[in-house]
Amino acid sequence: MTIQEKLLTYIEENTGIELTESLAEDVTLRLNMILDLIGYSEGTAETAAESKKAVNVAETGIDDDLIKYLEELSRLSLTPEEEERAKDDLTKILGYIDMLNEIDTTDVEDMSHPFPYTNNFREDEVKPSTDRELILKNAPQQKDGCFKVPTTVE
Amino acid sequence: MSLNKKTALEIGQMIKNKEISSVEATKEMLDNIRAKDEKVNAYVTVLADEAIAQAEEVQAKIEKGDVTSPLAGVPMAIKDNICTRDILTTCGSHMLYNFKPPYNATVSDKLAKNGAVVLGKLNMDEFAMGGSTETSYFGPTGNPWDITRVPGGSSGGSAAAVAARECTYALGSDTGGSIRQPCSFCGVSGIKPTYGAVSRYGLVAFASSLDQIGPVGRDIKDCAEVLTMISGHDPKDSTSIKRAAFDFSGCFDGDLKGMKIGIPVNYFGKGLDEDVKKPVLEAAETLKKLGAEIEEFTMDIVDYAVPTYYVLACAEASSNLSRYDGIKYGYRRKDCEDLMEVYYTSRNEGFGMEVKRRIMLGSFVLSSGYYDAYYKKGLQIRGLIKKSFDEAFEKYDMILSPVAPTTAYKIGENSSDPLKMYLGDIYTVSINLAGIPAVSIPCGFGKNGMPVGLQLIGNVFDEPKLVRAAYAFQKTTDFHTKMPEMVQEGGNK
Repeated sequence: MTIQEKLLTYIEENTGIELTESLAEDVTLRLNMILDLIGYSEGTAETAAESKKAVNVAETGIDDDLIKYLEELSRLSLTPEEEERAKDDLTKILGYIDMLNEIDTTDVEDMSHPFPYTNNFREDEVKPSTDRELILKNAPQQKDGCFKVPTTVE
Repeated sequence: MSLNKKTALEIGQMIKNKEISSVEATKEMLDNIRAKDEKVNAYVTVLADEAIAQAEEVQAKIEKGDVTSPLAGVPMAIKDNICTRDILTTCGSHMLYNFKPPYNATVSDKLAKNGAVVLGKLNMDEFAMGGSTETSYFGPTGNPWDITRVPGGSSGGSAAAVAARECTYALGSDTGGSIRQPCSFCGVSGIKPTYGAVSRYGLVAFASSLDQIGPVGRDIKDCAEVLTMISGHDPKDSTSIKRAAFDFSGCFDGDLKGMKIGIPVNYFGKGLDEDVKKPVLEAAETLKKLGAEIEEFTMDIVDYAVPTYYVLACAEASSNLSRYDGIKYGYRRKDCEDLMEVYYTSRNEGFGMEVKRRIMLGSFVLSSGYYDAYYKKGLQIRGLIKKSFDEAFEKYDMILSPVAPTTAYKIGENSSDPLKMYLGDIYTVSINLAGIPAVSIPCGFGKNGMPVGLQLIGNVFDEPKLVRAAYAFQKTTDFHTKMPEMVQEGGNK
């Protein structure tokens, strides 16, 4: 979407004013004049948007690129319908989570565990491990005592 | 004989006194399951023959004096995310629809050692993610008080089975309220223990820094007995705390003199149903009459508990659930061309939508560029929440609150709006974030006839105080003895 289109949608969504063709033309013309004045180009805007992405997602919502990226990170491949729903739901949820920014956490320490916690080591003793056959009982596919998967190296 | 009105401890005593055998008790529970579970759907797996065989074995051991636990021979059931050797453990998911663990969870071993008879495995929200048991791959569980309503979740099968007398007690797990909220919805009692009190070895991981296994029972005394049985240090769980099992023996005198109970006023504001508010505040009055001092205070930070919880729980879930790859166990999509396709399609077809949503949310908050703004921020606020509980426990022995903002809602009513569902966890998640214990006990009914639960929250390892207060309350009230109509009908044989 170009910045001109974005502005038109923004006006329609936020003011409820339905933009007729001539009104839309008028808005675009004025915007172009402003853009000329500040030396704006689509290219520079994209780089700026990239670097700002992290802070703005609660406002802008989850777009197509981000949902694809999250699917890749999560090793999931959603159907187009599921994608639409996930985009919607995650945008709403992140919008809600955004309230955490109301709290000033400067100099507050992280708490990843309920208690001060040191590792509990066991004695280093040799003990029998679970039988291979027992573990393989649950394997979807197995061969020669190993988990079988599709060819991975040609 | 009908055992419907008996607690697990009473049945245990009857078995000791030879008024009934373990096999007879087990058969009666199996009859109850046959009569009701088609409607309730509390069980994913019923172990009919195995349970009777186990009961015979335990009965012999009791007679020889080899097993002396107060709950020996008493039939119970286990939430389906707790590993039971060679017995299906599905987590309510298509991903684990055929998974038979090659080992027992530590709690399963402890149950066996104490002569528990396992009737089966109980339904739950998929991977314990949900508050209504509607996301289970094996269909929703119904609330025994009104079968068109949800039993709560994620331990909905555990609470429904106890309420419907399809078992005498059950094990559940609680990551953000998953024991307490279903107990509230189904009119039964439950304990979410201190983090590290009960071994998580063999509990299928959802959010490892929040998960705890705990009991669901007909009353708090049963729950305390079960907690004694399953708690204690376990070298197989590195987060298990080096401490002896609980001893609740001095907790049952009904005396609350000198006990200070704080009521966080912001827990009783907007969003809380009048139906819930009234019985919970009346319960505070009851405790006051029993000798407790009640005082109101504010705890503003807990208003941020739900968003903090969903950031942290989903982050941990996205990491924990990366193990499901379709290779070693569980569901695998057939006829895949390469390894990536196995991963993507197996995970996509193996997980339900709520689980996928949480994995993606977790991946998001942990991803480069967002980590500091979400995950780190969440960890910091978790610290602030813990601090405000620490401050409260300097003044009070325990905190009293509702368990959930509403009573049980209709099946399907909230399932299309995840955010609305998450807001139902508002009174429970902060307890998991802080790692502290809480109990949920019945304290009344809404206008719709559905049970209402009371939550008592304690400081780390203050379970005995909570049990003392809950017992005193149940000694003078009868909410926990009420039974759903479907049980009363079936109970007059």
